Amino acid sequence: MYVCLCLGVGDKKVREAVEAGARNVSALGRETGAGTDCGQCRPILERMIDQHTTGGPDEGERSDR
Amino acid sequence: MKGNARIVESLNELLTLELTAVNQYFVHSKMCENWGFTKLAAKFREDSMAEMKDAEDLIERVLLLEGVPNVQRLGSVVIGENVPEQLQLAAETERSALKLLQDIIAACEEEDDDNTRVFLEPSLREEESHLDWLETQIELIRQVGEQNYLAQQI
Repeated sequence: MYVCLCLGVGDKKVREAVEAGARNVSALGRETGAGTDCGQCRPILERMIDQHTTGGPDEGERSDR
Repeated sequence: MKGNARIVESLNELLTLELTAVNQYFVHSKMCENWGFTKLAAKFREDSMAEMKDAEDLIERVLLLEGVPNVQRLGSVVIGENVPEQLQLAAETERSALKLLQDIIAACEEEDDDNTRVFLEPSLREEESHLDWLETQIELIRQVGEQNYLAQQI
């Protein structure tokens, strides 16, 4: 799914960037562009970083509403 | 007619979800159209219009209860990058809508607002049928494979 609609960045690209070492939203923004326009996806990006570092459930199975 | 504040706020919460779904399904429809999956495009478009109609009814109900329809808020518009993802994300949206509707109907019972409860019950059935259709598609993809499924959507 598209995580950042403004820049058209999908979850796969974000996950790859996190795996490659991006450990905060600013670093993710520099790598992928995600979260650098309206910023509404920044909480999702933070959660994806947390999930990677703590090994939590996959973002695809989240329910954030 | 002055409505119960808790019910008005809940209806606005549902309005946010409906407006978010309108955009989600509309973009899904246009993506499917762009890929050539005309049958799915038509179905997503129809669902988007149905959610818009629900939003219209909700706005009317909030105004009748002398509230202010909050069209400012929009949830995260979750767009799938391919058809199976679109169906999964739409199913998640419908599950959220069903849960919220059930919660509001329970709140209506607590607050003795029978008219709002009766107003919401058809939506509950409608969202249930949307979810059922989506779950059928997801199961079809699992059983016949993505390519076979998509070949039927051209």
